[in-house]
Amino acid sequence: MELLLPLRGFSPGAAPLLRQVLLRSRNKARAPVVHEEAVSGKMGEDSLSNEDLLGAISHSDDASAFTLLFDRYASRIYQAGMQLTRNNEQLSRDLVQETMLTVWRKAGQFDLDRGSADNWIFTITRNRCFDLLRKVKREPISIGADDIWPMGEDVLAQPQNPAEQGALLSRIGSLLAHLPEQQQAVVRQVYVLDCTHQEAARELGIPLGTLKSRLRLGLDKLKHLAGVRE
Amino acid sequence: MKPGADHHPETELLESFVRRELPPGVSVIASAHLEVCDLCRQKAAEIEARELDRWLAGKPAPQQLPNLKEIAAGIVNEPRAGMDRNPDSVPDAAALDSEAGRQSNSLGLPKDTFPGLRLPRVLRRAGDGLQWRKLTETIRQASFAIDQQTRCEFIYLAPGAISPAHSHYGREYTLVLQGEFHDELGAYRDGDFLLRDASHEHQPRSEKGCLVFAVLDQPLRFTEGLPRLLNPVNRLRFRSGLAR
Repeated sequence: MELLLPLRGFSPGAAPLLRQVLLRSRNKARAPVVHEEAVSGKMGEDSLSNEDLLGAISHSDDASAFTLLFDRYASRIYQAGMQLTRNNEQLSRDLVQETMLTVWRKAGQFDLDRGSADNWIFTITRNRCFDLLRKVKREPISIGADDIWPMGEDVLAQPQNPAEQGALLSRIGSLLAHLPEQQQAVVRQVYVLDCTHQEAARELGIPLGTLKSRLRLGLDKLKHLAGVRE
Repeated sequence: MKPGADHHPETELLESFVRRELPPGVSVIASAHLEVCDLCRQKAAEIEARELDRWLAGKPAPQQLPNLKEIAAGIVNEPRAGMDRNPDSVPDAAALDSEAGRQSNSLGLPKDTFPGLRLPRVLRRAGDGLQWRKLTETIRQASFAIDQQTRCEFIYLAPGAISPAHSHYGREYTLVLQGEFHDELGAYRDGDFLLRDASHEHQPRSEKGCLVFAVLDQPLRFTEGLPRLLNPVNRLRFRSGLAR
């Protein structure tokens, strides 16, 4: 068994995704602190953190949590828009709309491990503004602001500490060895060797659909082994 | 930019990058460098933190603000996509696949030109449909534009390649993706970032071969030369000759 290969061979790009898989158990403990009645009820609105409100939107589509969050951020977003668009009021309004719509839709992607709600929403604000200004110029947005400034995503926020990263990878590496051989093979092709799904399927001589289902099973199993509960 | 002693973007460039003030093409190359450079990523994170503090400290004067309330009412009527319904799930196969579809790492170069080439993520989308052109026997180039102010190019120098001496009109930002090259001002390898402007004449050479990503910020200054630029050999001449 090539037990050492995955330890050594992990491409840097693989780490964030696997990290995401493995660290979910930790995030889960802090995610939904808010119960619906706490938001819609009279008590404690001010005491709810922005992070709590994002949690409530993500977990129960909570419109009143959203409205609270909107009130806390809209004017700042508008203000940032006025600066970035040289006082274009219409674009600044559009920016509030687009930014807060993204917040509404993607609240579940907010991850406290990667920064505060302030940080997340500020990033969305500037990214939406960047693309908005390009749209005005009719530039094709083949590479969007979210590609250039990932939203608090893995690329800009990998663990700085090489020891931590190493420990994580070796943990994943040892877990990987517990997967059935076929699943190991697909996980290795995709996350260790960084192949596309098509390349991996070709390399392993299996149909694409089979590859995807094995990958799915493999990742589920990895999560299970890591103690992450769905 | 001090010639030679670079290899990383200067602080002002990082600041402009963080503030979204650079043209898209220049932003892309800065982002690509940050992805592979811990040092600059750390610097950018510090700038980012200061920008955030400034944003939070700025208190808008209420009388200048329009009523934004109705925007909120409109948004909560929008469906919540459902894509993050279960934030604990890993990205589904389709999402992974579309991600993987962009992760073409070969850029359409012959497969074993750079075995194990890993493009920075922001450049992976750019790889689709690249048209490589031969500039000389040992130099190939594939260019594209993502905005009106810049021109992006992948340039491949085969082992032993010597580029014709040239200078630039405007600035040329370069990121070494893999391999090494050197010119009169320094030697550069994987992940190194450099900036050349009109004051630098240089003649890049590569002993072992290299792949770089470059962004020019005044690519089409001579509009009357445009038809000739479409011919790759003329384009090189354009860059080496006319562009003085």
